[in-house]
Amino acid sequence: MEQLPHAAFPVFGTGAVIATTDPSSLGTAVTTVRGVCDEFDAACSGFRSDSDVENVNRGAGTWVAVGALFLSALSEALRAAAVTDGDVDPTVGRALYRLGYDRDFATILRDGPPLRDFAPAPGYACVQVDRRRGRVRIPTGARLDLGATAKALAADRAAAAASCAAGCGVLVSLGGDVAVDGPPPAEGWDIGLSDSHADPSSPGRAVRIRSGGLATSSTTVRTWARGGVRLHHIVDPSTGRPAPDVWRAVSVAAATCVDANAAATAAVVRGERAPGWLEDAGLPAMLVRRDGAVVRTAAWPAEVAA
Amino acid sequence: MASDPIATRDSGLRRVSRITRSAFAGALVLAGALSALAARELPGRTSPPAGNVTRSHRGTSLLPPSGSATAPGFQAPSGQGTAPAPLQPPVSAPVAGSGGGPVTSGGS
Repeated sequence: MEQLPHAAFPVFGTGAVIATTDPSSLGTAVTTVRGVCDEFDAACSGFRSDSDVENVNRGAGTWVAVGALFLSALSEALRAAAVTDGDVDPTVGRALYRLGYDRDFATILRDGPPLRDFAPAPGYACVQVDRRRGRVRIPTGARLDLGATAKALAADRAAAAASCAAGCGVLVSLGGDVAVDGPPPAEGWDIGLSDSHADPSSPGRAVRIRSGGLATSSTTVRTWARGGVRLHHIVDPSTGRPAPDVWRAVSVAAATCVDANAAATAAVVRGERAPGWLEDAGLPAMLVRRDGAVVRTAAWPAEVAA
Repeated sequence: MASDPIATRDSGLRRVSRITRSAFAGALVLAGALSALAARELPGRTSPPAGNVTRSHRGTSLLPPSGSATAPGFQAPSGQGTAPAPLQPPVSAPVAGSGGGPVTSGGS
């Protein structure tokens, strides 16, 4: 397959890749995507003291005025929580802090003293949204983290905006959360699959999509340790602990990247219950066990011989 | 000339009646105004009907009741009704690729 024109830049503590079907429109697409990412960063970054989400966290127990983009991102996070029965929950912020994920991942202490207690999430039902007055309230002691859905939503919004601005098909990957919009290449968008978006895909593990989104959640990247125990960033909200290591990676294709991301993250949390849940939802997915064994659901294609 | 005691009594009763009606009307207006102020300053929660209470593995969680705009924990995106839209499969299923594109989907 002919390599499409593309560009890459760092964003959200990870990397963005932008590809277009029209080489002359790549610059326009990149500029548009950067603008969307900047807006999401200002609204949803947990590592910026001036972001809306940090304002809400600091003001826990009181109503806090927020912007329209944050309200939109929070609504998507609450929707993801509702449709996954709380397996993807924006109130896991305190749990992540307790695990040591309290700063940009690049600066997390790679080991530390053993953890003695954990912080189960209070649950998304405790989040109050007053859309009419543009404000949000969470209980004292609660902490929001939109990391599971905001990046994927940003990819969806960026792809749509860039396709509109550039007038061609656009692919946006934000840390491996992929969204496409506009007319696709003739053979579709070719996307490799791996535990880490920064590594080349495993031989034979790649899919082509023509619309929507694709996301992969993995328990083998963003890992650190406390007391010699390996931790990762996908937290089971019910326990406040990292999700069990049933799957090393789950890739899901969906109508949008935010849906794909919510499903992939929930699948990691659900462990052995995930394949049946994905199948019932009609979501094509590839689940990779710790030993490398693969389970596919819905219409996920078989691997192509390398 | 001495006043008619009956006329004096009737006049007094009319005054008492006017004062009572005025006080009642004033109380109604004041109660309405205070209710409106309280509703504006303290947006309430809508208690969902029993049928909308679902069990999560963590305990009881509340899905938005029909017509609720301020149910705790969830507010439907505008224009999408009251129930959260389920996760949607792609319009067309993915097909096998070659991995020759510039992008890899993976954890980050």
